[in-house]
Amino acid sequence: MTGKIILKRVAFGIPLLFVVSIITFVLVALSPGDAARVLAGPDATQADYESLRQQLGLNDPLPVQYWHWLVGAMHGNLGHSIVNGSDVAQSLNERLGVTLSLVILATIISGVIGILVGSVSAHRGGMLGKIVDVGAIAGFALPHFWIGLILVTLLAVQLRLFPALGYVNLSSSPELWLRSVSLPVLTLVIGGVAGIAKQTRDAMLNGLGAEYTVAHRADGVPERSVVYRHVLRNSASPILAVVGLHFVGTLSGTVLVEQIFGLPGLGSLAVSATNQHDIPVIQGIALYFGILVVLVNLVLDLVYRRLNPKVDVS
Amino acid sequence: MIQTETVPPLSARRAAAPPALRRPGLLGRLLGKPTALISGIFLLAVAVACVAAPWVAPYSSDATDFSATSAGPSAAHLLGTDNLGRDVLSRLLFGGVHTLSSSALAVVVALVLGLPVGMAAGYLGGAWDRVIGWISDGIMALPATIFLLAVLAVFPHNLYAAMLAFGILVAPGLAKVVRSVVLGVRQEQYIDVAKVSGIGDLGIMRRHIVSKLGGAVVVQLTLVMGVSILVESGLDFLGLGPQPPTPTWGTMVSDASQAIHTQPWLLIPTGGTIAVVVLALWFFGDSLRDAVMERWMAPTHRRRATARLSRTTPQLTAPGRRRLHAGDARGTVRRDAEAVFDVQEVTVAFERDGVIQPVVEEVSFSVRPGETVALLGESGCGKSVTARAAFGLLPAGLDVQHGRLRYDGTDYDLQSDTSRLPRGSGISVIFQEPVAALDPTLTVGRILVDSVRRHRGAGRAEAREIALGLLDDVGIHDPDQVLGRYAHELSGGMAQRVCIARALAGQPKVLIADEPTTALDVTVQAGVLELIRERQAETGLAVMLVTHDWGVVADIATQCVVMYAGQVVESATVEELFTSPRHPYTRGLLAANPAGGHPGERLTALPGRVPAPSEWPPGCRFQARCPFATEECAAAAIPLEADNGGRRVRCIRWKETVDVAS
Ligand code: SF4
Repeated sequence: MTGKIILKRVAFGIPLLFVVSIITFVLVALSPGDAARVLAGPDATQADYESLRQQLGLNDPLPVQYWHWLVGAMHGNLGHSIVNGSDVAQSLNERLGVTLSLVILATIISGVIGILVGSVSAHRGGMLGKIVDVGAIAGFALPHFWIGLILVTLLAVQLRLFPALGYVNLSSSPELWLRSVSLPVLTLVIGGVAGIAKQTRDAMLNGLGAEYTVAHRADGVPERSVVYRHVLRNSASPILAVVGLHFVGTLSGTVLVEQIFGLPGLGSLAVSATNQHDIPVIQGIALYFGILVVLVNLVLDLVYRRLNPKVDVS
Repeated sequence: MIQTETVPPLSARRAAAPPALRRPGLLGRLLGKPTALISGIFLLAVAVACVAAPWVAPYSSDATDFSATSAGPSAAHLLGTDNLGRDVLSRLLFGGVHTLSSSALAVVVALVLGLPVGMAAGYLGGAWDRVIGWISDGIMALPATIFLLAVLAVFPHNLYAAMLAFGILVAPGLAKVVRSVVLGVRQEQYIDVAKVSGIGDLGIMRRHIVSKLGGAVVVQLTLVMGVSILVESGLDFLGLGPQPPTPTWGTMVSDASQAIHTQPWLLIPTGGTIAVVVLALWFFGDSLRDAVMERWMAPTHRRRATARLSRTTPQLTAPGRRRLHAGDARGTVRRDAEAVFDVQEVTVAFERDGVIQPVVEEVSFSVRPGETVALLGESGCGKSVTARAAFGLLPAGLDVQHGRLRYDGTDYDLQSDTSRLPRGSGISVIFQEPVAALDPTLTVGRILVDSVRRHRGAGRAEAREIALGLLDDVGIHDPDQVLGRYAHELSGGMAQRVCIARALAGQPKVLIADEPTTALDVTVQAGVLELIRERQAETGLAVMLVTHDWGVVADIATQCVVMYAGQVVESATVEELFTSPRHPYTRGLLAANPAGGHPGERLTALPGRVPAPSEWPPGCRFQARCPFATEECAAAAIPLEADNGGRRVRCIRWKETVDVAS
């Protein structure tokens, strides 16, 4: 059964990855300049430029170029940076750990807290419900990079609790690693946790009004079990869906957060690549992000299947 | 990323929000909301001020004041200055044009692409629908930022190109909302209601689609605008937008971030502006959504109906609650020592705008062991609400105002005491939708075994044996197999049998059956009724049956309680009711549905409809449909009177009208 879900996800994910790579390719085709001009430099002769175009395969029709890229990508070869000629896959792999640390920690923390707070507020309502509402609005409306900057100002510059900049590898010092990712993760969590809580509560309130809930109560099931066992389990699908969406948002968020906190991850690389028109690097990052999204959805599906072992999952 | 806000289905809110009397239009509603007004005016002011920046800004965007660099707020510089001594307020105004216009571009693109595609999907359905659903899910699953970076890598510093791309990325989300609104309106219940009331015409549907769609689209667009501003300023912040010295909101935050060691104040006006504008958009969209929702709650035909029945409505004000029709039923209740289930003077109401509106008033009835009492009436008469109040599980928004229940010698206050009720062990319930009443994530076995263990304290293995026995008792031939199934794997009839087995797991004395056969196939209805009768004969179960089906009444009931507009209008034994009905309403029902009708025949053929609680007239509630109505009937509330034999009727002219009829 598990195999089937993986297949289903992959069947959804592969076209998605194609779409990602095709979109970036079409963008390149629309681009006014080209990589050869950049690589050749300003004082290159026309002949140098032409031979570089030939060498980079830029004279091939677009589908052929795409095919070459695709074949390369299948073999883990994502081409070379047009800025410094480094191997794209290699430089992405070096930076992957930073980004993964951020998004995994942030997703787990906001998922756990959000689901907890959301279900308790569905059960008790009142004050907690209001806090969740306000928090969700704030999480939507406040620019996340601004939240990050304020955290830096308060916790790093004023109180000196955390470093404002930089990253330490987990393998070199777990404690310093934790301190270096604390503020970025906190920024990402603040931006999303209330949204998860709100969606959880809404899903739970839906479930609390459902006929099966009335039937549980009518059969004398204690309220605590009705809420935290039955309704929570039944709300798994929308809750996990929102955690998945939150993950996507967090991935986008790393672009800003890594820049603010000076972390050497994929996001900050994407920003510098954009500034330098380094298309192969951007394409590679888009592909990595796409793969991460597909993987996370797969994990969420498996979790869902464990919680809700019905035969057909729609 | 945008999380599309789902609108709760109409049915979820219906119970809690019956129509009020006045129905202002959308704009009127919006203007009546302070948040909408304040946020709307604020947004307008910001937009105008930014566009008019060359005229209204106190300084030009790059005028430097070296006498006041990195200064806090002052009279000369209301929001302070940056490290070059440039006025922050002026730069915010000049920068706003760029931020707002490029965000508006995304909104326009989303609208131009999303609206037609969504409408097409909604109308055409089928493959179109699936493709659009697939694309929008796919795009939702991708981090948009990386695409925008790719666009900016190709078109350096061209934020308009990036925001155009963003508009394309969010368009499928908008299309999805549009699609669901169009689909929803086409299928929605109130259109059916409008048809039934004879006012259903295409005009209604067109009006609903336009007003609903307009509302939903504008709500969605305010959200898109908010997200676009955040995305746009994020890209600016990263230095991917216009280059210095051109101000934008994002670059100003970025400048401020360079100065957090020296002048942290700068973060407040810069990032704060973005936050406040997006907040205002959110609040505006939110109150707009509320206004739209309220309008949906008020289908047009309601207004007409209300106008027709322009009478003052009996209502209670929240603080000084006054008993309605006090003494109405008092002293006339059948005080029955033999009854195992005795409901006394239950009043249920909802509260809206500080007014308590009853929906069920002073309803009393009792059930003896082995007896089946049918609570009978058209939809909307309050019979299901009465039943739910009697086991203490009213839907949200409805509350018991007062009422008592005497179960098996113990008294319960239905307003405050319901958690003590022996649910499942003394009083059990079966529902109209048996499949929906079974938890979709649990197997039949889990549900039954849990129930048996809870009520009988049995161990797991023993409980399983008992569960198998219960399934056998309700006529399921392969109980072993059924134990392993989920609700969606059962037919309606089978599911109702499972529900009955669950109801019997706690060996109750009373079974409340809320329209137990209504949702079932006609072919299995008789079997389910037969099963209830069988269990009753064996255990002396008292059954309270809610139904609007004469066939069911004739088949299984021994006593009848007829309800109309929240009140009991007649109660009698089934024989009495069929042979000598007293209330004109009962007679009307019987005339329209010949006695002993077949299961499945509903009480609908009577002309007119049950008035909604807000339309209840002061006198007899049946007067609008009663052929015998006189002025006296309209003058004052009609009491429920009992004769010596315990028959009750709520009609001042019943004797005369019976004579006329016979
Ligand atoms: S009281 Fe009057 S209006 Fe009401 S049912 Fe009797 S005759 Fe009809």
